[in-house]
Amino acid sequence: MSIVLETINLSRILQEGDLKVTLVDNINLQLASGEFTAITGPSGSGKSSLLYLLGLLDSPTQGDLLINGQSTTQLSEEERAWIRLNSFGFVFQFHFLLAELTVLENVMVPMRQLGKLTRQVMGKRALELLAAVGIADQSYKRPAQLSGGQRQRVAIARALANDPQFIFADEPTGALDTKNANAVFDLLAGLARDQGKTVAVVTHDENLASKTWRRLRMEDGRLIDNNLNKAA
Amino acid sequence: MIPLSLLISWSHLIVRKRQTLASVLGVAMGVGFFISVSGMMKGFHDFFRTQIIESNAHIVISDEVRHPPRQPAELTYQNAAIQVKRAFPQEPVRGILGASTIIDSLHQQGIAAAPVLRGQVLLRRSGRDAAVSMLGIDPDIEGTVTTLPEDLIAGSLNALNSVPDGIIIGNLLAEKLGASLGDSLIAATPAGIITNLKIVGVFRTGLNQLDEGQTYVHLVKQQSLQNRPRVINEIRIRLPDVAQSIPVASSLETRWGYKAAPWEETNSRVLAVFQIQNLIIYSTVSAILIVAGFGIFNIISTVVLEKSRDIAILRSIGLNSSNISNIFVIEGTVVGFLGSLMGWIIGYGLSWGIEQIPAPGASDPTQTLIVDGSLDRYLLAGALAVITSILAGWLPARKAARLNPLLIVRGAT
Repeated sequence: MSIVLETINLSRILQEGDLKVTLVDNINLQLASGEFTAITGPSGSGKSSLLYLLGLLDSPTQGDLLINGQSTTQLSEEERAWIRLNSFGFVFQFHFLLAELTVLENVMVPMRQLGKLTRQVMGKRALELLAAVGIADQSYKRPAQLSGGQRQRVAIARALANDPQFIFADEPTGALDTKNANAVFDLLAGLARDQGKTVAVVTHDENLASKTWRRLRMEDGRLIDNNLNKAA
Repeated sequence: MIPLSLLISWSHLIVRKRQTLASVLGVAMGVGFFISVSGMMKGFHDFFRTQIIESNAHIVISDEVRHPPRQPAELTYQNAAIQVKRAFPQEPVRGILGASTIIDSLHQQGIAAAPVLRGQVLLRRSGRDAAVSMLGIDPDIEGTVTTLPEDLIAGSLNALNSVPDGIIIGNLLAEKLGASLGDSLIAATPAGIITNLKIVGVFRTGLNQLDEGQTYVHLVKQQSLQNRPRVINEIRIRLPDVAQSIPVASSLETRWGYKAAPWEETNSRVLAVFQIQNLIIYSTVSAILIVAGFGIFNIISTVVLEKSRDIAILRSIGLNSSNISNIFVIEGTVVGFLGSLMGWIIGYGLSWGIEQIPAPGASDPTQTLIVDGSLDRYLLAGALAVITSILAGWLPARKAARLNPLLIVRGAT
């Protein structure tokens, strides 16, 4: 497995007047292709902040982030948006589906923005993705008509729309019951195992985290354990 | 395929049917009122302008000069510093010298011109009197410079030739004096001549100033009434092309030395009033559009606030800031276009309705208000509405584009 994402002394310091908060402190980390990684730690340990930095949603105040060997610190906001569109898929604690659009249209949003496929192909691909997460029969409903677990599956299908190299999930099971949480986790694991995607999940659920192949543990913005699961 | 921004903005508009409809109606009302009210003003102005142009001469040469003539002492010592005290100024004989030469020259150029001696007169009948201006005209050529023959509602212009002491007065003056065709009036002029004049014609121009305060007699009669034999103090000119009035007037003035006033100068006060009216009307109707713009701004701002989560997820998916702002600019544009289209219909309907209203104070009872319905008025209103709407969408759109997706995504977790 090759290294596809690497951080070099990555730091994110929040400065507001005299108040200085270190969210992410000097992290060196490597993620390989097809790796399913959990980032755990207590609240405020900086695990979400780290994920946003990895996902190019936030910019580091220090250090560098290499994606497929390319430095990202000098990129413009437009270029970062382009990378997110092409190579990243995001799943958040809340589904963030667009209420006015149908489930199918929601999954098609990233494809439309990329604009590489015809409408027919997009619709077909969206249906396939929904089938893959097990809710093809809900395609023409509005998000409001779906259960919480179903919505999160739609969100995963949307994250996969442009066949991204990376999946970043921030507490994807936080709003779900155990049964749905396990199902969503298995889905994410399958993406890494079967499709070779690099999946990074932030979770405070140690039980679920232990199912991943690699577990990072953070405290006070620092990485205190780089490979918990392998050690155990 | 429909672009993503358009799809999302359309979904926002469809979901808020009532709000969308309200803002579209706001714009439509603005456009409708803009078209009808400014059209009414324009129609009124055009009507008035035509009345002025048609019933008056285009250019009037009068026996006045714009600058007082220089005194003999000044002319003798051209470059000296002279102060002449107690010198009696030269008192030239009033009137246009060589008027017939001027008229002949104009006629040769194919321009209609007619001589006039203007003076004051006091008319009296059965204890009622009116001080009016009296114009001595040549009945044979008067028709070439004014619409007096067409304005006559009783009698004829030619009667001035056959009845030596005939007078033509306006209908309002006739009412005021309680006189009608064939009645006699007592006339007293500043020259001290008192005589009887017989009404041989009554005219109506629709301009009160003329209908109430202007009378006509034969030029020869006027010269004797004013005790100014063979004097002419006005030459009234009608041009084939009224738009040339200003340049022609100034060349006449340069050539002959007498003040030549184009109709724009004679009626400058009326034209100034028109301009002020335009200013008021256009600022009022534009204000309606601006208010409608604020309505759109308000609604789109609310949408931006409500949809901040959507904006955040779209940003994280990979839409850039201009994609985001497009969504809301499109919403404003759509409202502006729909509002303009609907406003055109409303404006057309209102214009039609206004044209059914009888014109208040019109001398002709069948005269209704006139609305100018030219296409450029519709286009101007539409363009203003669309620009206002785009701006009203762009301001909140800019805010939406600047939204940091992280704050929303993080805040929700």
